[in-house]
Amino acid sequence: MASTIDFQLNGRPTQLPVDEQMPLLWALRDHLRLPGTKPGCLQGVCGACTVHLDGAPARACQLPMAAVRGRAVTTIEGLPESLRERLQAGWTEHQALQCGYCQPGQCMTAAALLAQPVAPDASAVQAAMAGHLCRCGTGPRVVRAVQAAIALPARSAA
Amino acid sequence: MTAPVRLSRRALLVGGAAGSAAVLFGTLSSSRATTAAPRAVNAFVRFGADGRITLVNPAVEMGQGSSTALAQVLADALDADWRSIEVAPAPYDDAYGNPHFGMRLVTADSAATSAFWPVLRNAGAQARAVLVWNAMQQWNCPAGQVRTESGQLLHADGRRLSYAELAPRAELPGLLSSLPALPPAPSRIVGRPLPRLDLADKLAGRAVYGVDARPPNALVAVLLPPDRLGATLAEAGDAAALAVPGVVKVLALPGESAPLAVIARDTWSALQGRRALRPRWNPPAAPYDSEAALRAFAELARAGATDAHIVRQRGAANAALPAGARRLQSLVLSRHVTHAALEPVNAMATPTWLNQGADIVSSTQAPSLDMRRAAQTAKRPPPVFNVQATLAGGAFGRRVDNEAAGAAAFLAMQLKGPVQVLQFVGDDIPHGQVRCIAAQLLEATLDAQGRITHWLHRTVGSATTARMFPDRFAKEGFDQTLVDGSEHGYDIAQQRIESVHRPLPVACGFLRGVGAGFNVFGIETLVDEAAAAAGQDPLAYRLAMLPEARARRVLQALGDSAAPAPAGSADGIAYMGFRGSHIALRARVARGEGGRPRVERLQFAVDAGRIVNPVLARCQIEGAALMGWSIAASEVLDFQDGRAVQRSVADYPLLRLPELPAVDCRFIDEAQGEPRGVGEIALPLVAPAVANAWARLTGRRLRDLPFSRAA
Repeated sequence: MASTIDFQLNGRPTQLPVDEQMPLLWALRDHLRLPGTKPGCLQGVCGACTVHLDGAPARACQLPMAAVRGRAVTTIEGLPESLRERLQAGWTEHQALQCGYCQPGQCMTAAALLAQPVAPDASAVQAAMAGHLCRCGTGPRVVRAVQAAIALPARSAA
Repeated sequence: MTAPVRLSRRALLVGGAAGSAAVLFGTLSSSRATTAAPRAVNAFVRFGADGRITLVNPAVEMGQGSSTALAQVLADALDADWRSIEVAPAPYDDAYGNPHFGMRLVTADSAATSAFWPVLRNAGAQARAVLVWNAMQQWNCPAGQVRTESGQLLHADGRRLSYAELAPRAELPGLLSSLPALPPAPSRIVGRPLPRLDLADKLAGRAVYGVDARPPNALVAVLLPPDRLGATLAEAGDAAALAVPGVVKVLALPGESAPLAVIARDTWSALQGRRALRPRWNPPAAPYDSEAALRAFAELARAGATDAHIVRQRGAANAALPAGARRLQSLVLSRHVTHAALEPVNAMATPTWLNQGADIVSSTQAPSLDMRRAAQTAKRPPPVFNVQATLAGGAFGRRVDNEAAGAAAFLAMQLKGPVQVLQFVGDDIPHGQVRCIAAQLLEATLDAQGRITHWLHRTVGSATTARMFPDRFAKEGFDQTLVDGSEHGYDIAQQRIESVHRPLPVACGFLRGVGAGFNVFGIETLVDEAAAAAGQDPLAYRLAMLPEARARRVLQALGDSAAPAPAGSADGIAYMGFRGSHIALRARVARGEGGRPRVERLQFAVDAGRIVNPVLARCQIEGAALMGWSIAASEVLDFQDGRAVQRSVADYPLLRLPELPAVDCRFIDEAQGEPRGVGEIALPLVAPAVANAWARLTGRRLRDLPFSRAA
């Protein structure tokens, strides 16, 4: 059923007239022209389409627009620059990326880990990143990259 | 030898076309986009108005890192400042053909860096000569007064000019022979572990893959393949689908057992429309059963086939066995596995003038084959199609035969408008391409000293090229990708190696490692068994049979780093020469859950010729090793009653993070000679090295792939 969905997208109030059952993934890509969120398995098991819903990682392929109403969505395009810089430094140090297709999704889960009040330990990082499938085999490097990003000092909010 | 790069006015035009492609398909928002047209020195080098230098990359970047490695090759020969280098994908033009593939535009066979190494060294050297010639004009001096150093032109009297200053206004000499013949620049960039150039854009979601290349006015098509392999359409049953808002049309693709395409204004509508389809299919005469087919292959491997292709016959075919001979025999079975690349198989097609052809944009490994596919499917001559390759979100061989290009070309011309075909990975697992099932019979006869005197290796599989290029296969009688890996380097007096092809109803494709993925498993497990039967150390046993110095060096390098396996674990080794490289692996294995092998460590020694970028090469070894372990341990795609049993990503047993072992890798002779293949070479060794370790640990020989199916 088509209706207008009001929600916050990357910090901006957004209104989208759309089928309420349409997953957020297609609303982002086809209607809002934000292609950084990638379609993968469409079953919620690969993690390629991970976004933040009210600050927590969520699979955009599994979120009907009705479930997004009134809530805050952050996509890879809206990731705060300070987090992006730390993640990029960790990824660069470990060259933790090949084809890169799963990486915006991995990056969103990693960003949520960085935002934790208490820094997660190695096993917590591994458990969180295990939800992401990387066919190139970067998984172990991604875990090291996230740990490196966590170890970097957060830039103080200017 | 590679012909010198042409420096022509035509190349200049090619460069201009590439400029627009870079803006379209480089990144979504290029902060460096400039309005001034870049200057093309030759097909591969462009000087930007901002002083930056662009490699027009002839190879498709699908994660292997060759865009960075090839930029290093170019920058090294050009003696450029690495920080000034950018990469743009090449447009479709013969100038970008891969010498390894008869100058066709194909990226496969671990051949991007090795095949383009001489081409780009040449192109870079030529661009450097152009800059030096321009400096000679400006300074009115002979070539001997000018030298280059990391992006600077230096006059003997101390004057200097940067490439960035000179390149934007560089002229080409009227006569190419006016370019100075320079000694090569000192190598400063090849061999360094530089970070990949595409990392930041990919991580930030700015990189453009084929799936992202759909303009707002284009339609989306998703496919519904026949319910069983070989089924034909009786009735589309599309009334409910056409009633879904946003669905525009339902069309059957051409071909005997072809999918239905649901075309809609957006992806969700197309998926909803597909769900509402109620087609009726005529069942196939003999529904495919992959285990029954594998049993039939096994019978054929035992009995032999009169139409076998003889890969190698050495010594007399029926030589008498030596006194005291022992014969070891091994029947090795391997099942279908599939690529599971995350990005959908895709192609975007836009009809050209008067609907005479189409422009195709796709995450493809093979623009040249896409053009052919489009021509076959849309029934037009190949030149009316143009194919632009984008970044690929994983490929692993899946995007060599990119059938989406044909589907998109057909649909665009039927609809007389732009359309993108998408096949998501969850659909591509049950309906995409597979590595063929294979049955191998191997025999090794050992003399009284334990040395192998007779070798028989017969592989029964299904040739991808017989499906893709039937005329060529009929003429040549074999498929090298089915043979790959069986041509081992062991010095055995009597050898017979055979390759037998039987067609299968499923689309067999190229998968990273191709035939080596099973052939080397057969060879290396039997050689290991022979070493054990001879009571010899498996490493020393192999060394005694390997005359090739590079082969011996990688095995010796493994031996150098040996530490005994702790109690409860065991080591196994394997060796292979493939893609011009030599590689050896030691796997440390313990007993894991459910009495299955658990890999603790994979340790490689690799001679892949000159290593252009050690960190990116290491990433390829790691990635292929982890894929190889996933395939060896658990991956399988079964077919029963004509349908894939595993229907989705969740069903297909990929190994994930906590199960992935540590991988380390040592490169040998990495600063010498020319680069060789890297991307695939680690994959085939994992299964045999782990099986050999398991035999040492448990006394049990694994002869089935995946190991989860071991009898």
